[in-house]
Amino acid sequence: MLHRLRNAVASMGELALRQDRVANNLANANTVGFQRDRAFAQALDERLDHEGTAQSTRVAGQWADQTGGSLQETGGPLHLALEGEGFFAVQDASGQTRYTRAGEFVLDADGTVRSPGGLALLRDDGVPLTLPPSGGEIAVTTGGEVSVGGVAVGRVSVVQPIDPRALVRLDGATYASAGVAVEPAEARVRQGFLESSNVDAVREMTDLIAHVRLFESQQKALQTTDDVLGAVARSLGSF
Amino acid sequence: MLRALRTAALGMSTQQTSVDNTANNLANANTTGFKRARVSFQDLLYQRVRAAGGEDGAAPPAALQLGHGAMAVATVGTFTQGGFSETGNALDVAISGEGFFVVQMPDGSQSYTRDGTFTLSAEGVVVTPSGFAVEPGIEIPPDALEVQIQADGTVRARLPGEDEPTELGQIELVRFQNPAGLRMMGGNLYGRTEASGDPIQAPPGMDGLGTLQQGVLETSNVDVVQEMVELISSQRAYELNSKMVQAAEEMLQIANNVKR
Repeated sequence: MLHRLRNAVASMGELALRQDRVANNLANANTVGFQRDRAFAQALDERLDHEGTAQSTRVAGQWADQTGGSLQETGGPLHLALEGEGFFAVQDASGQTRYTRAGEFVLDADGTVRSPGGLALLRDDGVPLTLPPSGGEIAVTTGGEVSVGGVAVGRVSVVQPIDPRALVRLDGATYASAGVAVEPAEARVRQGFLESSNVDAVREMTDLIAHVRLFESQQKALQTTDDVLGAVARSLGSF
Repeated sequence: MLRALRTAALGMSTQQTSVDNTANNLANANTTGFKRARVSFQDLLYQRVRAAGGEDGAAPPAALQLGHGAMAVATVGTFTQGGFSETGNALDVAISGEGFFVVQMPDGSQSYTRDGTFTLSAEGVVVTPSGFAVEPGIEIPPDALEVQIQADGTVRARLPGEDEPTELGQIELVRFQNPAGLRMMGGNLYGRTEASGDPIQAPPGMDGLGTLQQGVLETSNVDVVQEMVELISSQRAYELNSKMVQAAEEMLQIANNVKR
């Protein structure tokens, strides 16, 4: 009987974690380049303990859903969106490389192309992309070649991790590169567009409702188990 | 549980920032030389709830990381060209292309503007509607018959009894490596910051700067349809997050009811 109690409690804990994930997806519904989190509860997630009793379902983990979000036209010369799989390589303040699909960039005072959060966009030779102070029209080809006023200044690095599921999420819709092997990606760069998040409001709302109701049914299971235990104690105890 | 509640609350406040910004853009849809801003969002730190790798050494699937919502990191000014509206007024000037007019503030500092609605002060100096002198402080004689401002910024006026106009000075423009880093000071004025870099000054038409057009004003670059779409999208996202708050609340209540 105590297995059932434990199962219900574990299940409620997992559902709460899943609901946290839905909350984060919804909070980032309008974040540029955000990729929604998917939890995967595997088919083999029920295990038997040594007495042969089923243990509760566990969320085995999660990964970022890499389906592309829709492209939103902004006309900004440094707004870049990726069509197809791949990531921009950016560098944080400590010199670490990160990957992101959020292609919203601005220039800083030195002409370095950065995200609004301060991450520098890298060229394919691993050096931050800088634009000359001369000014002029910024053009980015679909192959990622950047030119200012007709003068080529480098090519934007677009890469694809060989195992995308190994990426570790960081803030700012970025992923840490630590230990993940990458290869050049085929994705095309679209200038003047931003990729919106790939959060699907309908799917998140259905998940949200399901989590609340499952949580409720686990609570009922818990209470029913408690009732049965109570009845057992009362009836067997009256001899 | 409380994580979901707080995450959703952050999501709501982020969307609120977005609506505030859209409201300001729309309010300035008819402001001369106004440049619309957009809010840039980011997701927040992730907490590793469970590291990759099974408990019994099974193949590591992926870690369980939970995020903490979203926040606004920056409002980025969009310095695209606005439209032009003809006024026929001799002292209305629009910049076609990059650049800002330099305005002398009363405290001696400089600020910058795209709004070329100029007038004359009591002393005959070219000033902005708020009365700040436009660099380099061009004085127009009170008896000038016809004022010309040319594409390269040269100001000329024909004086009575003369056939050829007299040159009075040249309006210079500045541009910044990163105009999005300028500080918005209100009154259509921008201030220099560390992020914008130092102003690069030159006559109009030189060094990547735009040219001047007399008798024309630059309208704002606010696209009302785009702003409405932003507004709808922010409002719906706000609503979604409010549903999350309700759901989290309900789950807390259910948890509380375990004990009868």
